[in-house]
Amino acid sequence: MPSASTLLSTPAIFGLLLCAWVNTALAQPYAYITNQGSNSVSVIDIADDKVVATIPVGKGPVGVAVAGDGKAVYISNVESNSISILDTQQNRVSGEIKLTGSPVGLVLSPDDSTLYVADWFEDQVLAIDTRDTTSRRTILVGTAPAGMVVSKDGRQLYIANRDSNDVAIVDTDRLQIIQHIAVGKHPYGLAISSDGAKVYAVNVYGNSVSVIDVKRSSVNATIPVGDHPYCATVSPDGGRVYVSNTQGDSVSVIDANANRVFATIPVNNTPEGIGYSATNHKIYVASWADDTVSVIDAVSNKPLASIPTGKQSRSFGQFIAATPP
Amino acid sequence: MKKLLIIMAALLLPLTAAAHGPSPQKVEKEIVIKAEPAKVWAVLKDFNNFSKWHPSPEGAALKSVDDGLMKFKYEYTETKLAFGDYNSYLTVKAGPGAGESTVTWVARFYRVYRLNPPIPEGQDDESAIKAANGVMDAGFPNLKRLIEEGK
Repeated sequence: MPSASTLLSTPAIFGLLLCAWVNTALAQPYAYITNQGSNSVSVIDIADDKVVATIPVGKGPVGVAVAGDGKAVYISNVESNSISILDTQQNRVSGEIKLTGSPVGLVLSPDDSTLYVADWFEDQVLAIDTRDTTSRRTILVGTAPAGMVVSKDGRQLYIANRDSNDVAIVDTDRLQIIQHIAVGKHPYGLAISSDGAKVYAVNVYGNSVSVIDVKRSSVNATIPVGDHPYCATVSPDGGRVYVSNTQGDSVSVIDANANRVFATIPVNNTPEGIGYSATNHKIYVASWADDTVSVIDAVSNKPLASIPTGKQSRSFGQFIAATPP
Repeated sequence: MKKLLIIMAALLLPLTAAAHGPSPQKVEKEIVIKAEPAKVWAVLKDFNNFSKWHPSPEGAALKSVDDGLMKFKYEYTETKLAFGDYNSYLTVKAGPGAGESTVTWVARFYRVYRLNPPIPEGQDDESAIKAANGVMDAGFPNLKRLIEEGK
């Protein structure tokens, strides 16, 4: 019986290898867009900036958290008091976490073992075990907790308390507040640099971004941005911070070393959630009023594309996967 | 005691006035006006005309005018209407027919009741959406008449 290698000619083997290489090279992660008005999630293939699936979820979806391996995505349904768990290989809902409160912000621990859920009305944050979602711990925080980020080692959780104008730092082992840091008026979105040294709080009524020096646990700069800013994302090298201005219909680009805005990019109307895609150096920002996602080239700071999504897209939180599922 | 309660209530007001429910609401409408976009835009962008076409103009303020995009933005800083944190824009585009313009009006706002459910009657999302629809349903015919008939 001939061996497999003798059945395949050299060009055929080369062709197969080439196919495998091309597939690996072109495989890109996905972005998950919550559509408040359609009660769905649009799945965007970053490789060609097209929606490849639309997944029905709960009511009023807003927050997103993507697992580190890209295999699971958590969606907060603020109007139906639940979390939808998405299976990203099948692009369908694989589970639901029912809650009594109103979930908005979501973030995962770096090992994906804990899902933190900000409960807007009950002024608390839930720490849910992702392997057993009935196992939950809670911590009372400030008023109307919104955006959250976790430190690289997973030991600290940062929470923007929108109506008490501060960021709470929580020790995740003991689930206790270590400190409250006063920031600008109405902090909503948070972003953290990849080295974990800086946390950015976006102040909606302050029209500014507070820069928190993590080592010193204090605000070391307040940067004026556009009208009613909502969310921010940091470039992988930490040099740039991109801020969505919901009423300015623009994105402010901050030079993180100089702590000042050096470019303002017009985008579609009412931009909310914003994310940096490290694999192709593009910025994705959900446009609530236009039912689209605006794509920006991070090198030229020019708008590249507008992707139609479901109605009232929001994507609050970290909504772009780091790897394909 | 009553006096103290009034003072306490007064102190609480500015705090609660800043907060709102978690989901913004949206109303969007379009109208065709029989006039060139330049003419429509000239009337729309002039805030002196605002009270001639916009119902309940009390508490409304101009935010910005963008001649390039023909986009007019305004907000309510305060209002008796059944919504809060209302901000809105109108844009003008040519068409569908020759010499016609299409005006698109988009509003984003929240319900009046700003705390946990149960929500009092008349202060819920439905009431806020109804009020925003009412503004556009009254405002659009006024704007059309003002531009087409000059009154």
